[in-house]
Amino acid sequence: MLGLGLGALIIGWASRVYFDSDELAPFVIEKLPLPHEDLWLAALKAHVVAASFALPACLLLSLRRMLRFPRTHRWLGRGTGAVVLAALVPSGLYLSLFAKGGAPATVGFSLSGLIVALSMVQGIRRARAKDHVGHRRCMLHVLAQLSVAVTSRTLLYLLDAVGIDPDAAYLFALWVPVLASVGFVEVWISRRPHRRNSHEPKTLSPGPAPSRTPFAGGPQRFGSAA
Amino acid sequence: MQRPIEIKPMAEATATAVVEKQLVKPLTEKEARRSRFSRSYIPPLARRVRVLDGERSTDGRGAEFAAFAVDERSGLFLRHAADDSSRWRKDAIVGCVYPARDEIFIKRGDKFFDAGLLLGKRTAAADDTVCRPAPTRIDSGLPTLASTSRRGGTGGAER
Repeated sequence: MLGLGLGALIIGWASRVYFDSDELAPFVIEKLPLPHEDLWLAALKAHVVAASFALPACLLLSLRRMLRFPRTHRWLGRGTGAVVLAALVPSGLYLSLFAKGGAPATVGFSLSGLIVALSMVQGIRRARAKDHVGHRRCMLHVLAQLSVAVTSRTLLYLLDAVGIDPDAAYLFALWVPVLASVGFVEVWISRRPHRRNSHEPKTLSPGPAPSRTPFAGGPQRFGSAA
Repeated sequence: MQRPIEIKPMAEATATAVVEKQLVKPLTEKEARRSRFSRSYIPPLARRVRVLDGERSTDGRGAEFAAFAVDERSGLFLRHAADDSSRWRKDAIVGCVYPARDEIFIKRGDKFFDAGLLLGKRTAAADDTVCRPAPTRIDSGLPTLASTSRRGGTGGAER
């Protein structure tokens, strides 16, 4: 969590360069020429701003301490959901069309974006259905995919340090964190004893914990409607 | 307003030296100041310039140029492998240099851009005469320089 927070800060701070009108950022330079440069730049700026808010917000929301403040959690969650679904994912999907690495990179970024969008929608539905276990699971998928921004860059740096070809490294550093994030959440959820539903009074949860397997039926099941 | 192209003595700098001075050095200095924690390319440890053509070509403006390529080497933990040719990524940057004019263009797709693009300057694609040898003429004599210097001899970054 600390590493993700630190990584988000570094990325956010470094992203100031995209708003410097005097010169082009290296990430922009290597993409040029683009067919619709203004649209791409607008999508990039929207993506950067949205991500600078969404990743720290998701980290905050995932803190156990935050559950003591359900109203704050609820409103911050609504704001984060809106930012992710209205700005982060659409801009990311557009940017993915021009990603370095061609079609495999486009598919990788799109897959990550779709996981974020579907998990966010499903997580919101779970929350509205008072299924907080299912909500947590979906939101962990959102957080895990947002964390790809940090893990992918870390991997890129390490692969460069050992002299791996940059093009191959770029795809590896994209796909591995995206897939590993999905796997990590599923394994982590399945091995973790389910906590009491934090938003309910203690007296309302005396029964046995729901099944630990992520693929079990019932309200915990991923992908099921609320 | 048209003015003839000013041709400096060709001997004052080699093509390699111009690329080193005008492109590689400022690029390295700029990269030293930027974050490596980025999705954009990670600055290489080293670059080397290769001039590709033994003989310089003359473009449609009558200016002499030479094609060049810049190879890059990465691997923070592989510093000892500097002489290992397989560690160099060839043609990371390709373009052409006009030694007499101190102009450098880099190739992107099938277009050439002023090398300032790599340094963060907004530039449009150069016109079709840049970095492309002029068609061979049957008649002898000097090319009509004045008639080809439509953009004031800047080497131009106009589309």
